[in-house]
Amino acid sequence: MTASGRTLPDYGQPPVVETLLGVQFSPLTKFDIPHFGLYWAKIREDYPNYQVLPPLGQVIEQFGSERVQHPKLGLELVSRPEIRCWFIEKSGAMLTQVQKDRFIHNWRKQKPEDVYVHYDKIKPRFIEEWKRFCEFLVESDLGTPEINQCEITYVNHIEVGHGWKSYGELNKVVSFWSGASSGDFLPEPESVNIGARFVLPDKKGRLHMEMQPAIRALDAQEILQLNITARGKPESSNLEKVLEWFELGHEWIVRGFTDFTAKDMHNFWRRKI
Amino acid sequence: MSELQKWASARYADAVISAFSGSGETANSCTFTTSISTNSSLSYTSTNSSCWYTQWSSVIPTRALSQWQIEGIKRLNKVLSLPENWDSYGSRPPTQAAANTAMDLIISIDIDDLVPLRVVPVSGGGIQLEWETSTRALELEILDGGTIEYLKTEDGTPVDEGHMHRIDQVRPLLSWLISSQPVLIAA
Amino acid sequence: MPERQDDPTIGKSERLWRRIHPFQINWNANPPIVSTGAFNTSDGLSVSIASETTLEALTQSHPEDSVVEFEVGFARSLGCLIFRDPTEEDPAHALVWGPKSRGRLSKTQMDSLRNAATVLIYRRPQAEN
Repeated sequence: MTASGRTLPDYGQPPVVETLLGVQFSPLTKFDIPHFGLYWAKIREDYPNYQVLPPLGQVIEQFGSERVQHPKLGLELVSRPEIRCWFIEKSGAMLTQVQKDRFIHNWRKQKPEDVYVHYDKIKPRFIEEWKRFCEFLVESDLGTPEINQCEITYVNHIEVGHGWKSYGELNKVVSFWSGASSGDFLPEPESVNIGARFVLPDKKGRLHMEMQPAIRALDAQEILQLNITARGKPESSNLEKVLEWFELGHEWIVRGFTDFTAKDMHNFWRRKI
Repeated sequence: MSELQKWASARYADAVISAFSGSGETANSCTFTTSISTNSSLSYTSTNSSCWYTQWSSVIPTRALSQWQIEGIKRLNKVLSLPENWDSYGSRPPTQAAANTAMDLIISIDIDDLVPLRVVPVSGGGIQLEWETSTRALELEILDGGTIEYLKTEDGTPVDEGHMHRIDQVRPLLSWLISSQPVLIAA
Repeated sequence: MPERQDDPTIGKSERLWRRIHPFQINWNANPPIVSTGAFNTSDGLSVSIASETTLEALTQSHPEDSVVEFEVGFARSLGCLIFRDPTEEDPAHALVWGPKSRGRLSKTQMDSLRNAATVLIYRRPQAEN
């Protein structure tokens, strides 16, 4: 434990480029297109820019007999468009995403050399914005969200050529990948995708690890994108319980990241704790 | 198309993305290319609605790209790393506007089998994309502000030059380029 | 901006040299081919008057660059203006001024210059673009 009381692994230069905290709730049936504008009016001084996107689907971690085994393909005719709005903070580093059944707050690096903003600083911003959103809902008689899922995601960009050169050295990046084979026929892989899921204690949710080769649009840098998402249901919609769940999710992401990635890269990322 | 039909098709596309997003429990392992958009107008900016659906940072999964695109983007990355005065005559490095347009152009091209792409820095902050077959060559110059000019050459002689006002105008230029290549017919 | 004028004291048979960055050459071709992008600049195409300098002076501070050469007369035949623009680093510095905005050459002019230019020095990079 450090002087600040921190016990979770910590890195001086972690590869994380984006962090998001979000809640999903039963659709607010009275929330309609004009309410996006009314909400924006409330936050516009801090979030002067916006963008309209298609909405995200509802995603719920399910267990046991509740599990859905097969992908669903549906065709649904709708009489009015459903949207998601991005409200972009004036610095360009923070984003609030709103739709009738989701509220998400993102932080991202704008340039690769930007300093990582710790979870301890992002969480209070989420709380502030979530409270502001809930106040708006009450003022506009749109109801109180019944939260059914919480989500935290860390987006990591592991740059090719920085600490490792090719997929033949993937074992230097991912501790789960040994690189060993039963024979010597296959050459070095051209690319590798990895997906893994872990169940949180008492089935409070899941931790998802998704790793894939990608190109970063900002600077055309070749990367391995490692997304780690903790998602699950809090004990109640009460803010205290939501934050309790976020603490669990955050711990699982940080410890999960440390377990999943290799010690060689921990040194490269300057592990402190 | 009526408004109802437009939104039906948009909703269908959205449902397709959800259905292919993993095993039905989570929607995080999206395997769709990011060029599919549920907006009513397809545009290269749809790459911002990345495969990692709640994500803001824009990335392009390499499995969505052809080999020539991957190699071209690697070259673009090298060009974007150039310092001030890289040309020894005081030029600034390629601008972000030129870089964005170059990236958008490369990933917008849906031709899998294309001749290798060369990426050349241009003094003043621009970038030039070049393709060449045995008889024809196409250059797309992306100026520092992100606008695009092109030059078509046949047998070493310029045959046409002009401005591209939209990224999708690259397709007829590339069709011209590759139509000079011989077509192999199986015996 | 003052109107640019061609300098008749620079004779038509005078040779002009220009440094070329390795990223502006296609090293996979045999012989390597200089891109038209190497002749694409705004505020005029920087060159050095060969008779007033040396290759060593031209490349001393830029050891990774290749060098091309073309004649003043050819550039003028394309419609370009040539005039002196001496600098502290290069007293032999001159500009080839094209007809487009801020002295840019047209694409056809760039292509013609590229085809007519001779490469005097190839400096192949360690890792090619």
